[in-house]
Amino acid sequence: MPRDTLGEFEHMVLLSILRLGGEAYSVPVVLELEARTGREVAQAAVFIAMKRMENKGLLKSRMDEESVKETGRVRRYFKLTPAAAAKLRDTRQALERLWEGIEAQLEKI
Amino acid sequence: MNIWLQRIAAWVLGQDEARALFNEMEELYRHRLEKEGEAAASRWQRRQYRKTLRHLLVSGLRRGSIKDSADSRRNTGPAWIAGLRLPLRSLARAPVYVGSIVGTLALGIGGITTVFSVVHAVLLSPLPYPEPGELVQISTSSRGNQWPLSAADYLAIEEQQTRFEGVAAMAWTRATYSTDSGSDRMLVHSVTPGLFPLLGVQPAEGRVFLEEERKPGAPVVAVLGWGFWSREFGGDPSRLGEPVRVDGVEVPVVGVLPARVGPSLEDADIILPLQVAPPQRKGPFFLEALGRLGEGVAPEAASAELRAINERIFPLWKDSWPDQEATWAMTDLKTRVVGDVGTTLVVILGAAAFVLIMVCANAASLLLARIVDRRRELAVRAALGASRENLVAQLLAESGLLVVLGSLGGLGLAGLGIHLTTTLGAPFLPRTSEVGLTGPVLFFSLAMAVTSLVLFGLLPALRAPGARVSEGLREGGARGGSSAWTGRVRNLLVTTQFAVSVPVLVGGGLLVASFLTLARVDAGFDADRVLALDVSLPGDADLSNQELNHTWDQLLQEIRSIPGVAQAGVGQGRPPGDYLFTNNFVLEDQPVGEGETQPSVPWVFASEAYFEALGTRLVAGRMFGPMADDAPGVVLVDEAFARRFYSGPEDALGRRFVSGGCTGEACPRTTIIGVMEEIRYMGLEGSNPGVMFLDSRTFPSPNSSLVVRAQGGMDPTTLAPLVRDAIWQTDSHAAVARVATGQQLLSQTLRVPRYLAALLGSFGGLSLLLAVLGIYGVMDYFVRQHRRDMGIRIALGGEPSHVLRLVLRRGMVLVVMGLGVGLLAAFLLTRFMGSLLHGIEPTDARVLLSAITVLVLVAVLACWGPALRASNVPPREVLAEE
Repeated sequence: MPRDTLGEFEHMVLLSILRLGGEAYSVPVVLELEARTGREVAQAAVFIAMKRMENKGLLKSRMDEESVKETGRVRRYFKLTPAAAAKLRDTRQALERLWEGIEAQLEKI
Repeated sequence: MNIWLQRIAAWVLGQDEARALFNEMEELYRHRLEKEGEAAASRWQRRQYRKTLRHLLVSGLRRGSIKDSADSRRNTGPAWIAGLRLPLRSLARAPVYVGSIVGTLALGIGGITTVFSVVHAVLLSPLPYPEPGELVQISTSSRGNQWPLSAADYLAIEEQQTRFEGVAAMAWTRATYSTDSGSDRMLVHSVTPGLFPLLGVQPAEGRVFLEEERKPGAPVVAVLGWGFWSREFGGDPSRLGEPVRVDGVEVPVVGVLPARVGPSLEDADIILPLQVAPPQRKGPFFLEALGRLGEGVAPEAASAELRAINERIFPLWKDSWPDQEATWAMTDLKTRVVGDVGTTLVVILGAAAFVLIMVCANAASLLLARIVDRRRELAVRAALGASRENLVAQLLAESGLLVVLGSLGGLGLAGLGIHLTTTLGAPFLPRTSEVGLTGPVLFFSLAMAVTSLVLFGLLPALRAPGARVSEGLREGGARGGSSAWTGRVRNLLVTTQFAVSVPVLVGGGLLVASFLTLARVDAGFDADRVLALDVSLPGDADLSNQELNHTWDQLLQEIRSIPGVAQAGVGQGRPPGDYLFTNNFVLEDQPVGEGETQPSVPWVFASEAYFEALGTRLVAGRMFGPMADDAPGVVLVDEAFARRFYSGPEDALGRRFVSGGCTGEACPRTTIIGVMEEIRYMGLEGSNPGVMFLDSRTFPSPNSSLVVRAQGGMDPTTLAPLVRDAIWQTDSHAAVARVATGQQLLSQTLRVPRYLAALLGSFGGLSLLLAVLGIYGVMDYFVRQHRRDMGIRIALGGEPSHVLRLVLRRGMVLVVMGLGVGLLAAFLLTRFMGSLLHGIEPTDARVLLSAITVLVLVAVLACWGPALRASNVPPREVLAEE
């Protein structure tokens, strides 16, 4: 696949963020992923993936001062950018087109 | 494993991100804990660690660290500035520490750079002439004495030499330079035309002398020095050709020398061609001769030729000069120019080096102490992921910053120091025009800065407590490996400081004692009442002796009528160091054997009024009589002379001698008719060789020394303007120069010893201060480290005074060890100062003992505070800290 498309894990992280309302920090993303995929997720993997996607311009982060009151720590929230939305749509379209009409083939294997 | 994980996270993600990661991991852990209980949570955590490690490593190695992109969001600028921000911040938190280190470093580096600039310009760098190694000075030499050549000598050399590319001669005298606005005494050089090409000096304006201008009787022209030209003619090239009036004669200016002419012509204002008539006798000896060795000529060959020529012409002059031992010697010109300042400069350089060592030891000690104080900060930093290399780099950066700041300050101080040296030191330091912040000097300064950095910056970095995180984090973590090591090193530093300060203090003390000894020497005249001036009556060069005497008498009458003047007299020569010339002689009853040197003493022209004005009395015999009675065959001497050659003043009366190297029955004999009180004319140093006084009325000169005595209680300075006015009333073209009170005359003679004493004394003071600070700091540190021990000791029934003595003893052991080494060093080193000292030996016990005593006393005082504090530790408090 061309470089522009998302890696699988990154895709899943973006989808999780989307599910969480388009903006989240790493902990709920981890929990969401584990809930939806049923597998244990390495938090570091999520963390690094989110950072990397920020470098690519797919996420935008901000420091949340409010969280200090709750937990005494500042959290960094990551938000989906329009580019991310476009990328998700593209990837989805690509997959759908590839899946078109071959579900039957899957049964035969 | 936790630590390693943190470090790797910090490396891959950056500090802040790593912290965030672990925070969020903790949050998840708590979540797990709530949901599944502790066992499951712990297992989860272990799994997470493994996975985190794997992901971090994979990310870090495969795609490089992500943190760069993250940091670029914050716009930090070039990497090295970011690297400096941390050290700068931590230094800014300790202004006193930074100030003291930067300040002392600046002093140390600035001081040694200044001294080196002088050493380099004067001793190390070659003379600023082309092929300076070929230049030599030729002088007469006999049994260890050297003096200039005579006209006969020089002309013979010029005519007969074959080994030199060229030779030239130079003489100085003082002459009156008059303009419409006044007159002044200037230094006038007379040179042979060959001098300029010999030295490679090209005129900046106009031309230099032509060969025909040195013939006696040829019209005289002048070449001016650059400084004089700028001052008097405004440096205006269109004024070339205008005359200067020298001793009443108008001399056209044909050329101007450039600003940089090298030491031989440096202080020349007016230069005239040397016109010597073929001489009738050997003397007088007034020419400085320079030569440039021919291509490939060995100095020995040239030297041998000179000796040969000398022997060849000896028979021609035997009548007026029978000294067969005297020959001509060649000295490398640079050696002559530099003279005896070499020893002085090296001594000062050594002292400055010691001070720099002390400054570095001081800085190292402070730095070590500071590191120990920052244990917690450094440990936290290590826990957050800083590697040992990071910490060392940070410490080095701090030291480096301090050294950079100190060096910049030092350069500034050096600039100031050089300016002071060249302005104040010009009268007695040769080649001051070449002293400056030149390339080699700047390089030296850099080398000193690097050395300082190595000496005090690297030392602490060797054992930065980066790895011992747990130790640093422990509350009140006082003891332990690195702190003890720090203590030992600081002790060594203090011992070093005391060792180094001894030679500096002793050296300073010796020079101070020497200066004080000199200052106490009785110069033999009433310094408090005397005002001396050099007076030149330019219009009277052609008057007869009688007319000159009359003119002077009139002038003296005028001056004596000024209220406040007790007496005024005229002569040539001023005490304590200004004589007219030295002349050799043979006393009738003390003949000089074959191969022996004739004795010589300074000669001064004087009169009864002159002696009265100075305040010297006759102790035996009689004063000069009225002119008619005495042929010029009588002299007065002083007590020192009488004691040197005879048993005392009475014994010297009536003795006769023959002077000027004259031999044979036809030589005129001179009689000693009186003896004055001892008086000095050859400076205050050493023993007084004696003085001979001639009657100034037998050889009057339009250029003489006027001595005025103020009435009791009056300050001679106040008389100066009145005397000057009186002189100008008598002769409006008279030049008055070198006006000085008796005290000023003495002070001028003592200039060099005073400067040396002040300079090395202040080095000594600085060393003392640094040593005291050093021992105080170390003892304070020791007491704080061992607070618990002291408290326990007292709690268990120990006497507080015992603790006090314990601390004191510990401190003094360091001091005494340092003093021991220092004494040895002082003993070995001060012997090189011998030539700088007067009336005191380099190993003078009093000075050594005083230096040691002062050091011990201040050390005890410095230790007292911490010792007292140690003995007052409340045991309960200390035990409670456990």
